[in-house]
Amino acid sequence: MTKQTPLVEMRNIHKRFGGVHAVRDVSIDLMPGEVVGVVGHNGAGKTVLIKALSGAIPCDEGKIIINGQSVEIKRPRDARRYGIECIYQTLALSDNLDAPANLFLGRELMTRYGMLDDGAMENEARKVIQRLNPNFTNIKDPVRNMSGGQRQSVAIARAIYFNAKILIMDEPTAALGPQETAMVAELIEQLKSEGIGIFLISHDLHGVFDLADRISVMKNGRLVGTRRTDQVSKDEVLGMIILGKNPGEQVQ
Amino acid sequence: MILKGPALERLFKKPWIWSYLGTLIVWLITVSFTKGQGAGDIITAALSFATFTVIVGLGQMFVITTGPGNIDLSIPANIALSGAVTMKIMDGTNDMLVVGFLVAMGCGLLVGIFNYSLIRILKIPPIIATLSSSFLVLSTAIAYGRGLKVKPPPFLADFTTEMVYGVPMLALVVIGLAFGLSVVLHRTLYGRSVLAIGQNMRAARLAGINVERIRFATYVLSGLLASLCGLALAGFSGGASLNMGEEYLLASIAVVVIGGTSVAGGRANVPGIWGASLFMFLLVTMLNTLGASGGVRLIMTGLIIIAVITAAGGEKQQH
Ligand SMILES: Nc1ncnc2c1ncn2[C@@H]1O[C@H](COP(=O)(O)OP(=O)(O)OP(=O)(O)O)[C@@H](O)[C@H]1O
Ligand SMILES: [Mg+2]
Repeated sequence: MTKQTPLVEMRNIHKRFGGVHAVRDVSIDLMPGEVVGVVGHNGAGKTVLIKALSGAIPCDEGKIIINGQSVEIKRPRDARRYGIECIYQTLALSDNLDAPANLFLGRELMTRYGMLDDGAMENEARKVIQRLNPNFTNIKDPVRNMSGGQRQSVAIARAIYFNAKILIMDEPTAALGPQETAMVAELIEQLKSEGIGIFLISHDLHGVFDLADRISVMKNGRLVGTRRTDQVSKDEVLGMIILGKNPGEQVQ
Repeated sequence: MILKGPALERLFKKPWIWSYLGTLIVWLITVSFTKGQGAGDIITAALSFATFTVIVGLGQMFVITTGPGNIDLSIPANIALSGAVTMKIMDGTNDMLVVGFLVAMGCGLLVGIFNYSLIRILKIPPIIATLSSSFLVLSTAIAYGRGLKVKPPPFLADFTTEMVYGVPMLALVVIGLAFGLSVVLHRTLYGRSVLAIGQNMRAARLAGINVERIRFATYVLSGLLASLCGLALAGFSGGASLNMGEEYLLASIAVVVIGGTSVAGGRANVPGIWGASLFMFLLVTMLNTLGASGGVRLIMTGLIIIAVITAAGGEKQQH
């Protein structure tokens, strides 16, 4: 059997901020239709690592390979070209603009005369947001007036509307109630079945165990190890997070 | 009142409404003081003079809307330069009108590029960058236009002072300009990007907006409008003088603030620029009519700006 080409390979990634070595020599990969959970304590380097992939913080060293092709990701726009979409931990929205304007920010729909097509953007936004959160109808309000969950829906809608192939979710459910959290879980399953690869960063170990196929653990900027979810217990992962040691090193 | 309940409430939520209400009140006070004498003339004069404030105020509005710290203090110097250079080049004849106009736009373009380069390349805050560039621009204007006393070409002089049924022609043109820029702000990619950058620069960058290109375009726009103002002002006042732009430093900022544009960026209001410009002119007229001194006028202007910022800030905190 020939090995399938990974959707994403990040090899030997490094990122330093002055004296802080935030990410040291981390290598992770992601298959099509796979969810890889990234866990670790606060400040472990999870966000910095995935920002190297989304183009928000280009890495200092290391290689990024998308579908077997080595690529350079220097800006968010580069990442988008490869179908990478990111939902950031600190939601990146423009507060005075409404949901459709935020959803299409940087990729606005235009009329034939080169003007913004607000009508079309509203229609499209309604469709996606309806699918995510049927209770969310006041999409024409400025997002400043929206609840944490609604803002989150806008960010997620933005990521899925543009047919992401690779989706990065940094704490996607941190601001959500139980019902919305369940909705996001359902969405992740659905996107997965469509062949989309997902990096899921979360402090909710139970959630990660339910959704992820593999779990990568980080500590102090290093990768402790990556384990298959069906071959590891929560206690073992917890041990990896706290002690920074991988008891199943040989299993991989 | 025909308007009732929600409709009236909605009207009062519009950020520009206050400047027009203020204009009306100040006008009524003035007119009642003069017992109705010259009521129409005052409006005509207000339209004439407010026009110039509107031209530069629109540019300043776009700059301020791109976010905290962004401001263009080079407007007065730019007006002086464009006035001096264009008057000299056109030399009082209609033959060089088109060239003069293009030269004015060239001045604006250069000042805009220069401002942005200082901000970007030398990483100087806009307030310092545009202030230092004004010294250079003004020096150029002085060197170029020393002892200058050239009359504007007849066509330009006529055009800028022409009346259509008691309404200044130039005011009509600038109402059109404001309308056009309102379309640019709300219906184009550029305008949407300006608003997005002003609200959350990080989010705009992550969304793939080329933040620096938009800021560049905005400083150039402000430069172009200031130069246009210089040309029109020189035509209107029968020639350029080096200090004719002076009063537009404070005025351009004041009308942005009073007109309901957010000083914190990300929220702009075009109708408010007109309302605030009329208000500022009529306020001075009222204080003159009531016999107030120049000092009192400046204090009033300052107090009004502070009051507007306080009111706008208070409104924001409710959210
Ligand atoms: N822009 C930055 N400038 C300087 N240091 C940074 C920057 N971003 C992150 N760091 C540092 O890099 C390290 C890793 O941060 P990162 O945000 O990746 O942690 P994390 O694993 O996502 O933590 P959390 O679970 O709290 O989100 C931290 O020590 C942090 O202080
Ligand atoms: Mg993080």
